[in-house]
Amino acid sequence: MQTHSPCWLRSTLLSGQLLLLSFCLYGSANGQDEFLQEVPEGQQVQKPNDPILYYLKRHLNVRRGLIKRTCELSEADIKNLDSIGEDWIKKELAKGAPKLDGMLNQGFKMVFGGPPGQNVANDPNKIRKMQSQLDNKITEVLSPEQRGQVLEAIENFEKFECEANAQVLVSQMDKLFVLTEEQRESLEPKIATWLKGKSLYMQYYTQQNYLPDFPASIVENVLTLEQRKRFKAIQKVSTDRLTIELQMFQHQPQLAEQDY
Amino acid sequence: MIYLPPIRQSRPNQIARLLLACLSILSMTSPILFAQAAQPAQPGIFQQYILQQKTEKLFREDVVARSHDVIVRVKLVCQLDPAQLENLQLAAEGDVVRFYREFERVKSEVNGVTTNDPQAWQRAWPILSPLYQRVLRGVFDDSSLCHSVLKTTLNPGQLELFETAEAKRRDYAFKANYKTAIADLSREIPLTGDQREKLLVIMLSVARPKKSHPQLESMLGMIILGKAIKKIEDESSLDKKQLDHLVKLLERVQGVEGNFEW
Repeated sequence: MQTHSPCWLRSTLLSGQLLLLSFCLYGSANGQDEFLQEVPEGQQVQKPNDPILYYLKRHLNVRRGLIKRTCELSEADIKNLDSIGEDWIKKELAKGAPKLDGMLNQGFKMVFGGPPGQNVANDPNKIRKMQSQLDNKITEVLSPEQRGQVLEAIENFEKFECEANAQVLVSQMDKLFVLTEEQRESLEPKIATWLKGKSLYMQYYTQQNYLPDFPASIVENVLTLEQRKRFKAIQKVSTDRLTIELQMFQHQPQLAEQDY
Repeated sequence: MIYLPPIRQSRPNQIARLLLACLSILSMTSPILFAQAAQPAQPGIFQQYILQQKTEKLFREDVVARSHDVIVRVKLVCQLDPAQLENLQLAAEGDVVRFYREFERVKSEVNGVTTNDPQAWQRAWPILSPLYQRVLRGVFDDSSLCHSVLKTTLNPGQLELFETAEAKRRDYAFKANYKTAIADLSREIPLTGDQREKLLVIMLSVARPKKSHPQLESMLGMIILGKAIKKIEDESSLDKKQLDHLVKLLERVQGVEGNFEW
């Protein structure tokens, strides 16, 4: 299994070190810092088109829209729901503003090894964590019955997505080493279960002859010996969807959020 | 401009920066790290795109196995007599020979080109691209010799069984693609379960492309949604806000449709 080439790691390491060095020296040599800004306590300045803010606002709008289409809401409920907006997100983001020790930790990782880590400003885990906080916050204003309906709708969507992605992967496996109908049927639920809680960048698998690095136990009892041999020879890479989307964020035009 | 998260300026902060600077210099001048960083950064584009990081031996094994995939797919639905099997095997071997003639030609023309040299890469890409598309499609598609021989080798009953099984296989792949497109759409537009199901039914009723385009396959679902927009307006129960947003999203795939054969 190969997830990243050593060349990639080396060049990332070196460019990370150069970036860190220029950042450190530039800041130290000049009293004024172009990159860092003085911000009042408790406030976080957002860059225009900030990816974290973009993804959180989009998540909030879609969730709010789903709630409005799933539950019977009173005017007061709608008002409560709409009161959670960008301000709340910005306030929560300010609470999680990067700390000096976190940045030092990143520096040490770059110098002494360990995974390269994410730019703290574009950390997909941070977005996921805040999306989950947002879910809790917006369902707080609902009655227990309404909350149940919304959670069921979210669960149904996640199940739909896992099944869809599992079918794409099974279809890809079929293309790569010919599956019988029974094998397709047997693999689909196993892969869907493995995908639960994961969000892979599916284009990797439809554009390339790659597969995610799912455990061998998923395919062991389903594939024939010949198929298993071909399965082993395929490049395996599990690429997180949000990580890739964040990397591409600055290069793609983003649509203004629709307020639902 | 490089964006770094804003933090508050303070004296300990400046000290920390100096410390980090020293550590960075130390690490860059470290002979082990420096020696590693000085190694060539990228493999050749032939290795990267065609062999997809496999050795040539492994790649050839895969090509030979794939050349027999059609035979395997026929055998899954019907029995072949020895003469039929021999015919198909000969055709598969012919496909491998034809493929390797192209493989060697492209290899010799793009030999030594890496993505580190953008100009050479740009010149090599038109030569490499058709073979790359073929590798992504699965090396031997409907235009292969084996597929052609199949039509004259199988009897009508066998052919019908084979084509039914192939249609099922294609249905499965298209449905998976459309469902993923709807799931992606649900991240941008709040869709209820009922709306998702209706969208899928509408998408499945639209004519499909005759030939897939591996690199654009992830956009196919959106293209189909664009083709079905009138039907979606009438039948999917999407409200005005949802439809307006969908129309804006469909602008992203405008013009891509022409890359598929319909």
